[in-house]
Amino acid sequence: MRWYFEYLWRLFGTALCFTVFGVGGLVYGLLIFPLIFLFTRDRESRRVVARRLIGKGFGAFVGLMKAVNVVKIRIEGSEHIDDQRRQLIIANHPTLIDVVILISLFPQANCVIKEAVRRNPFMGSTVRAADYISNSEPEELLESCVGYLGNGKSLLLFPEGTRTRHQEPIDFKPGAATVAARAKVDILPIAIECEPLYLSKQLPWYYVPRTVPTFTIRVLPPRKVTDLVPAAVDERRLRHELNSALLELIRRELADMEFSRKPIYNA
Amino acid sequence: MNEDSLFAEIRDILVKQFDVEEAAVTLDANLYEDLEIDSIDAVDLLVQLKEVTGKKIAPESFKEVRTIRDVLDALKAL
Repeated sequence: MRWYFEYLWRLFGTALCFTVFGVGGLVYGLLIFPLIFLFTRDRESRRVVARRLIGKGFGAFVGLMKAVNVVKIRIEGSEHIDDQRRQLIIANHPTLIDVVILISLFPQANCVIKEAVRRNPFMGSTVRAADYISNSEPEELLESCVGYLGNGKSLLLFPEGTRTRHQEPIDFKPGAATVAARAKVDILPIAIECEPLYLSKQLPWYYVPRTVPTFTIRVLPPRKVTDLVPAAVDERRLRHELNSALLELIRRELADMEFSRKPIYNA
Repeated sequence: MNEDSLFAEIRDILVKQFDVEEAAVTLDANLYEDLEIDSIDAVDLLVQLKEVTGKKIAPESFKEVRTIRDVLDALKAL
């Protein structure tokens, strides 16, 4: 019986969190950010303020999720978290709230956002003020990512391109590796596990597992491109090899997390 | 620019930048299967074709493109 009440509570908690996220998004998008557009004319300072506010909002939301016990979050390797560092942050993408957790840890990082969100009347002003990169034009997307990193800032990309499909091994598209190779920046790899799975691509929002979903956010030490691909190769080979190296790195960490969760019977 | 010179331009880009064998570049060669062009190459090719022809194939219509003939057709349609 006890697990059932816990389950009901977390179902309610999940609905509550979605509602709070929606209302918070409306307050930001319809009230706070239009005012910021009015009073902060300079694009650069508006971006910094906007991202700070989004980081705080996401941080509060993550705090709420933990407080009502709909998720547990464990952060490993927090000594590698440096929001001021120029780097490409890459992570796998198992659930809907990975980006919320990551932006609360790296508020000043840029990220790529769907053009539809930029045009959305409720969220548009928020993401426009934060000056996130739009995904509308593929050739401009690559260029904007490389250019942005060139200005000494950090960028967050999910190389899977979308959330991981259930039961399938993760796979990376070559875009993120291409950006790292062209911008010649260090890479901060982050492996994310959510166990049991929750808010994933094929699960509806109201699917709540019997035990509390626990996130492990493992921030790995930053890598230089040459650490991952030591040989001097042309750019096409480099991005393929870099992509494979990054995929291998994240897969290994995920396998390690899974292994350390399971007891060993035949020891 | 006529079709032959456009074809020559595309062949030059493919050979010089994407390590494609010159002999493999035919009108019916499939970019992705025969010439091993990936999605990033496709974007780069799109950018370079725009520089050469001054015309921009929309990324959505480039998604439909499979062969070099399709590229020429897409450019002609603009």
